[in-house]
Amino acid sequence: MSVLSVSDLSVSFSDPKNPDTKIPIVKNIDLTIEPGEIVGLVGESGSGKSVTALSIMGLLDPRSALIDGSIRLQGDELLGHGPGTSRALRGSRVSMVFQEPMTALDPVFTVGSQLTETLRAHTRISAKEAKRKSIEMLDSVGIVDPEARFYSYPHELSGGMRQRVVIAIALLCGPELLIADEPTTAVDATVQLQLLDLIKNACEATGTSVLFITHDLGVVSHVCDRMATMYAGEIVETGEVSRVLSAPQHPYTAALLGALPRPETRGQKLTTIPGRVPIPGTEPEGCWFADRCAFVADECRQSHPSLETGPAGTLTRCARIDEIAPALAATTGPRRDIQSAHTTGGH
Amino acid sequence: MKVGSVVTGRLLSMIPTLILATLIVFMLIRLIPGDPANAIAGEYATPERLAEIRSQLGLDKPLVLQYLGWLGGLFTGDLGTSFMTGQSVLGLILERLPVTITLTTMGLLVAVLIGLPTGILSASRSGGRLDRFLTTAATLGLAMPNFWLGMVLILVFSISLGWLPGPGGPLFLADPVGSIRATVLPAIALGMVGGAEICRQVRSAMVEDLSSDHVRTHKAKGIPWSRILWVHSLKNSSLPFLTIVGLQISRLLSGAVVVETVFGLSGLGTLIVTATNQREYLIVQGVVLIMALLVIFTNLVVDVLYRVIDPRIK
Repeated sequence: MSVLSVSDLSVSFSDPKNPDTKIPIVKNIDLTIEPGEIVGLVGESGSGKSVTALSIMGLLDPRSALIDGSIRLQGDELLGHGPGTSRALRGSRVSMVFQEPMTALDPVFTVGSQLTETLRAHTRISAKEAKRKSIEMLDSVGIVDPEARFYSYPHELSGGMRQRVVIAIALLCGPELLIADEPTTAVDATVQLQLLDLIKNACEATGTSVLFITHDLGVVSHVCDRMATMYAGEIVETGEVSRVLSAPQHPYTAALLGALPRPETRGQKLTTIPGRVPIPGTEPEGCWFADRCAFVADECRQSHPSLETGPAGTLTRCARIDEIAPALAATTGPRRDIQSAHTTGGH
Repeated sequence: MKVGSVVTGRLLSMIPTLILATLIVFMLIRLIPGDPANAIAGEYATPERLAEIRSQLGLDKPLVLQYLGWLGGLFTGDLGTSFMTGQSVLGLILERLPVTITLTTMGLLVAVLIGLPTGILSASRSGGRLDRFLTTAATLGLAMPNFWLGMVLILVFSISLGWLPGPGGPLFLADPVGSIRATVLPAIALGMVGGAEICRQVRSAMVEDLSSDHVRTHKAKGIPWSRILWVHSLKNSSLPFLTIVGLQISRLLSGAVVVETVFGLSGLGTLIVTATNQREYLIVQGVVLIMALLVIFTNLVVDVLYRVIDPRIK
């Protein structure tokens, strides 16, 4: 059974100026994650990645967010429960690591108390046992001198250390699914690779599946098994990382890939994608990427394409896939060297 | 920096503040037309008689000498004597001090007991109906003058219902229980505005904190909402709370002057009012000095508490 099975998930938010209208942010997402798998959710800012994550976590404010569809964790439906049920799941069966380690921890409580309270919120456990387990977890995420750090306050730790603590909290109760929302974006480049390997290895060891949200394809190629590219709130391409990145079928994925720095393009300007993601609620008819796409044709503006299996065995949402895919292959070429700017040299 | 050195530093920096406060009040009180000689000798006294009284009281000396003389006395604990009665100013103050301390302490208690829970409740339901009600109530509370509230309380609870004693409480040292009972209504009148202010400040601090990243982490950890609210968010919001409590102390002391008058309590407030009317310079100076000491001392306590609560403050 899939660890996570999201089907037809849509999230819309009420317009603060006009509470009756709902603005769709995430549109009919289907996503599954198998046991032990690391799935990358990729897209630029505003593509709906984080909203997808927060709706799986049950962290969206029900007063403003309207969630439709189904989210199943090991077959258990997560949507439609009262707040108590999803609280019991959060931190124990699904947990999350956030982007900003500097503010993610409570500044006026010790690191140790923030770990032990997580354990004690979900399990009947003595204070002594909770402390022992917490120190063990701090040790396993690579914190030096965990007994002493147990009594530290967050401000006494560096950003990388704090993110290790956040990861320790997330893995403490042995979750089935870890959602990592750009966990390495805000830390020093030298620490990024260490944290990526930490998440990858720790989850491999415990069999935890990971939904890894990032805009960095280098990160995806480093840690993920499968990936899904999101654009304007929907998935435009999904498949095994090795296939998608070696031969992207959707012009958007290809464009993201083209925006990465590579050794052979050293000294040249990086490619950028012109324009911006359409404002939610104002998506054009037809393909939503059409206005920014280098391969746009009249048929792209006719009807909204659906996700279809392409020649490479991946799912792609593009009306012109048969014409474009060979052209893309010619421009981007086989890619085995993908590394993000930050992780380059880390191997 | 250790708490000990913080305290020492603060105590040292108190000295210029105190000197400035006494200097200002020394000048201000002498700007009021009329002097003690007028008050003692009456309306029809001859200029010669007035001059004689002034020289007896030492008021004919240059102001600088008068001030320095008074300042010198402070070091030996001598605040001077009343022009009218010859009583020791320190004795007068010590006799009245317990009444004012009881009143302001109970007033502060009322303010915190009203402001803290309503502020937290308001923040936890921010945008909801209860929040709107409490915010409106707090605005009304802020707009209510304490002397007016005092009179309403007397009318309702002591005259109509007869539950609590009306104006004119006993001295604290003579009858502590009776004095506390007599202080309940004045304390409510005094603390209400502070309660409204605390409610608003606690609400806004907590609303901000509840939307912060660390609260999102606590939610993601599956910590119960009540614990996030009452343990985590409350501790994170306690610096603005402490700040506003510190500010309330000086407001309560100045409010005590009015409330003591309305309720006929013989505390420092009524003492300074009478002393001002009679141009009892030394009593006014003494009372202001003591009040300044109280304010500075409570701010020192607040400062130390900051460091206890927030480990980031060094």
